[in-house]
Amino acid sequence: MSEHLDDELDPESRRAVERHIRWCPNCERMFQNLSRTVGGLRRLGDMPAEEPPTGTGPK
Amino acid sequence: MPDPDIPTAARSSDEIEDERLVLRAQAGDQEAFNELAARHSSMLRRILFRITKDCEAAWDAMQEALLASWRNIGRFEGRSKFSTWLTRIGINEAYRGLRKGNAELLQLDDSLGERVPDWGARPDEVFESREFLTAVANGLDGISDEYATAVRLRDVEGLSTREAAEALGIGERAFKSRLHRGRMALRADLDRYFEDGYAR
Repeated sequence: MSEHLDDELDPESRRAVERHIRWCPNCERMFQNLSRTVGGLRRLGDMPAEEPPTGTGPK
Repeated sequence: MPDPDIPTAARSSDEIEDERLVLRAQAGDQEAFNELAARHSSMLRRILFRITKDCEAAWDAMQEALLASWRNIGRFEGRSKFSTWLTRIGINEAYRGLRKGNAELLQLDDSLGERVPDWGARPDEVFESREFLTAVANGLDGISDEYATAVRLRDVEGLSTREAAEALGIGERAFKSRLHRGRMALRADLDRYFEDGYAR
């Protein structure tokens, strides 16, 4: 599933995953949730790095 | 490499092609091994699913089997068909996974049972909210360092699979397995976040 999300599957494997997801509701939900998870991670990467809290610098 | 007791004419063209690819893989040709893996992955997946009765466990066993067979291809002496040898490794991996009760799968089983929760019914805004992203970041801090590093490099930092694998000094196959396990562990953590009604 991860390789499908990363578009790293060969066409035959990609079709096999898609076929399976179509007939297996559990895996369809798994794929959807995994996709949401990876989407969240990518958004984290797009966010500017947080400033360190004030008052916690080197003493 | 081919079994000398079996005349060439008695072997199918598929077996002869496998033998050719095995020789190349034994010489270190990863492309040849990838082709071998592609030729037999559907068959192996079906067998492993029958044993584990679980898509993820079957997938894990297959990844482990492919990794082990690549590492040990030099020891394959051609006494059986390559597909038989690979299947044997896959079955061993599947039973090993079932025996040791892989901690991650147990965690999934314990928290989710057979049914994966449906997040999809929620609006997109939920998955773009700061609260969700905070849960993702917290979840990442809670999974094992090995998995979290793979996920951070690939998904947060945006490195390619090859770049991230090189950064960790491991092969792409091993990296993909680590990445997938990390993502799955994080996904399981987020299942609990949604089950808890976002109360974190």
